[in-house]
Amino acid sequence: MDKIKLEHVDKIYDNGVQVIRDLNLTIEEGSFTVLLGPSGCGKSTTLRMIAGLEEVSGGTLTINGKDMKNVPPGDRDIAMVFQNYAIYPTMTVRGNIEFGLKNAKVPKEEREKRIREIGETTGLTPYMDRKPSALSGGQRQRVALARAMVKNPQVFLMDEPLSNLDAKLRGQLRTELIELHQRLGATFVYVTHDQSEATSMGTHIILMDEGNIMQQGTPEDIYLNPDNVFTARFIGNPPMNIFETASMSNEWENMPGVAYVGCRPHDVLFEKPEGEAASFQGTIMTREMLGSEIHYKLRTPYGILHAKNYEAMKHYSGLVNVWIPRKDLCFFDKNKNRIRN
Amino acid sequence: MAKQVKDQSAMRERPGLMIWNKALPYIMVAPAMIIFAVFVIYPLFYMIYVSFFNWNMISEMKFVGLANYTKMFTDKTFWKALSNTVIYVLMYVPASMILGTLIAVFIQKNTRINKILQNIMFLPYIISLVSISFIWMWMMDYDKGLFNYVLSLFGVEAVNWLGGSDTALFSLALVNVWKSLGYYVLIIVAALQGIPGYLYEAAALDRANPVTTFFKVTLPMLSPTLFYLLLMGIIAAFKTFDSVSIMTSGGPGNATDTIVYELYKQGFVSYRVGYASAMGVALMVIVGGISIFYFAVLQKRVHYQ
Repeated sequence: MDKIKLEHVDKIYDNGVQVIRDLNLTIEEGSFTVLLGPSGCGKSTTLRMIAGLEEVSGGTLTINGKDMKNVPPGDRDIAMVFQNYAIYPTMTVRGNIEFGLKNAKVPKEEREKRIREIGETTGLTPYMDRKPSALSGGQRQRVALARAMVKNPQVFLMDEPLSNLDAKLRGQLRTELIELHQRLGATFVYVTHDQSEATSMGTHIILMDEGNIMQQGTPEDIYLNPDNVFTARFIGNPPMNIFETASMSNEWENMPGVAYVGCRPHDVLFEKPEGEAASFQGTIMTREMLGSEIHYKLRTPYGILHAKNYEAMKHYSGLVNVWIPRKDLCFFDKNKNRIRN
Repeated sequence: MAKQVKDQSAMRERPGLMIWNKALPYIMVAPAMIIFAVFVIYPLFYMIYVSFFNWNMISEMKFVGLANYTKMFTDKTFWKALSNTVIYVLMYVPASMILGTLIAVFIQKNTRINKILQNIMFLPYIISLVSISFIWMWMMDYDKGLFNYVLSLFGVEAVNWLGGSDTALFSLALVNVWKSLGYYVLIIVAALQGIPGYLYEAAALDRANPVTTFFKVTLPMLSPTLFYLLLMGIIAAFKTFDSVSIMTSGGPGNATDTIVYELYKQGFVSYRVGYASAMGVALMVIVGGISIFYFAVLQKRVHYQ
């Protein structure tokens, strides 16, 4: 069931710049949809239009089938968690969480009950009477989350909520958010530029670039089956190796319209496999030992090739041969769109 | 690290250098401190000293102990001046703060028309109070002034702005509020623009209407600025002199006689320097007391980040 729908949506700023053109997007109920993309791709703008913090310049935005044209943010049954938390510095933690409930005229007993529960869920009970200035970054983010959760909204909007936290806390909160989504069953719309965050948390990913949707689907779809070079290079760490076929002399010369060929680093093999495989020769530039994975960078006549190897005890160096199974190759035409044979 | 070692060895060789380094901060602060001592600290203590004497600047100072103070506390004129001043403060300060905040909220957005308005509002503040006092005096003239002329066009009775004992103090407050409003607006606008926009967005998502947002988000964030303006306003209002001296000379009768004006009359017109000094001490104690009370009570209601 379509929870949120954008149809032919445009966004033009006051200075005349059009950042979003004819965007069509559907967010399903109960999903954890991630809007992913580089800075300036329009993902935050889209989120803010859903929240009602930005006006929709053209097209329709509906939530639960109802047009949100003149509906103020407070009436959309949504809650938002901002990147810089946006908690009220002059109110205590309790005051911050209570503010929305008070404005919605929730009776005192109900308010206190909800705040008590939220305090326990988020672990904020010992901090209820503190002001934000006396809290750490992670605690502040929890307050922002608690403030959103206590409203019991149908939709949670999150704008890069973990960006300002240190790596360890980020990992911790990532897990908490996934569990939260599973427990609440609400619809989550999450904006991030971090592709590993997206693939680890999302049930559905919408990858955007310059206001356009480049690809959308499950994390597996997007990783294993990219529709274009942009998606192939954005997802995965290290990203997919992409080479122009113009300078290559290999069997896919006969493939009509081929301009680029690519493969994922973990498909690069240092020993000849069975079956059809393309072979390259390259010189090892660097070897990075990352525990269970080893990243190699090879210099080839066509560019730099990244390879992921799992044999910690092997040290490849100098001039080597590598093979990529035919089935793991991805082909793209001159418009950088995927050719599937 | 290397510099420290170098410094330490240099200091061992030339003990004068160590003393110089220690003395340097005091030397840097000295000029301002000297001026402060000469023009503020010394006159203050001298004033307290003189208040125990009778002196007309010509003959010898005559020690009278607390006589000036007993005279002051039994002087009807002193109490009238004090009550006038308090009433004036109660008119000037709330009006400036409330009008200043309301106008600032309306013209804080960064549009061209707002910038023009802010600049226009600030003009009266930079014009000399003496000039403004004269101009308003003419406009407030009972027979030939602009205000009564405009009132007459609407069929409203003429107001004796500066000549009526129940309207004169109000008229003075009006002039001074008008003059300094731009200053209040400018400072509050700057403080408003320091409030991050995402707080208002969060408030919108929290279903806060404009009034709730103003009292629960905007005002608390403004509290350090308002704290400062309120105290400065009270202290400045207690010291009103210029407009009284030019526009009403304390009149009609003693309807607009303020503490500082009365002090001026005693000290520079009647040459009762000792008595005037006692009044100066009284003013200092009152304003000092208000300040101490102010900090004690209001400090905790101010939110600092």
